Amino acid sequence: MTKLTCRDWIPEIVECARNGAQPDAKLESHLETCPKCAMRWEDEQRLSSLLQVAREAAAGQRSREARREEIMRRFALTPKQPARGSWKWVLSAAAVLLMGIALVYVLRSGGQTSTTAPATQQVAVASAEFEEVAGDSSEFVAVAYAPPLATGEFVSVVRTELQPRALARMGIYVDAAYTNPIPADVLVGEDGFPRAVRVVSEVEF
Amino acid sequence: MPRPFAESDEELYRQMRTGNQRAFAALYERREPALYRYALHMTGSRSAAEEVAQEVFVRLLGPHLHFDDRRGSLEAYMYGVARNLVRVMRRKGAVEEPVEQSIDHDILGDLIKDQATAALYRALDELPEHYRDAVVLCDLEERSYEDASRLMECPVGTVRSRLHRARALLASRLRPRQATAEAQVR
Repeated sequence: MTKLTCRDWIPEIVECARNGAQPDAKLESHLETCPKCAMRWEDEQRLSSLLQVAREAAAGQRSREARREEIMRRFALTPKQPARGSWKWVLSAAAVLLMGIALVYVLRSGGQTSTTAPATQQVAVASAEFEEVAGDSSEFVAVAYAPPLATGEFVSVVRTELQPRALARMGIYVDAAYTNPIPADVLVGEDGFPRAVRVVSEVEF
Repeated sequence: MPRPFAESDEELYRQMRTGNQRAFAALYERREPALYRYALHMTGSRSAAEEVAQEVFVRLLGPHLHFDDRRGSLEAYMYGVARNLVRVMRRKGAVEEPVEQSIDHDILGDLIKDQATAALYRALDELPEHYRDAVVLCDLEERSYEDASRLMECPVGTVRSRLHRARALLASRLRPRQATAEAQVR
């Protein structure tokens, strides 16, 4: 076992005195035989007592009210920085507003029969009978909610591109994964309402 | 010691910079007493300590504050400001009056205490700044080595060795003359 030197004992002497503890048996034994360390132990204990008195003196009552009021007055006069977070809220609100406008636009445009100007040929058909115009009725699918054609009403066949959403509203099933516009012929009455639709695309959707 | 406030110093600082008086008051209540005591121990003067503690908060309000929370805590920053203010004061010789003592009914006890405390502060005053800092934070403010290490911005081992060395210097200066003479005879 390595014999401890005075240099090794000093940290323990200091910490003992700081904590107000008594030396253990080994340290006690060393202090009995080493005058230098014994003096250091006395010095440290005396110092710790003085430090305790100084702590108590510093913790004594002190009137802070005047100082506190003065610093609060200064605070009230100091120009303030804008909250960093307020910019986030402004930008977030703007983003929500823009998204809302875009959503309204998309929903409104999705209700229409086409997203592009129908570059189609309008066919004014003399006969207003749906079956005559539609030809093989199995190709045209009647739009479920449309009012019936009036006798003698003229219809137009409009070749256009329809969004899958618009087709779905007309009762034609479109896979949700398919998002491209679909070429279609739309039978439109004089009132402008679609009466039937016929998909002309070869692509499966 | 459990904190009565939920927010950190840094959060209170952010809020006070935007004009939140509650946050400023909370930070002031939390840190001012300790800063005052630190300055008191470092200067030995109550009026100087009041001035230093106040000035730390005045600087916090200033537009040119250089606090960056990525470099350290606000507490460490405030102690650094206080330390610099004390240094400037001492250099200008602005620290003169001794520490006043607390009121005690035992006049003789007061006298002894006053003289002993005055002697302690004189001895503290003669220490190099980094030794004095270690004694003030660890022994007078009773901070842990880890806390003191943060505030002094040096490793724990350095704090410990500075403290031990400082205490050795203080102890030898405060040793009664009789004891010194006996030591010399030995």
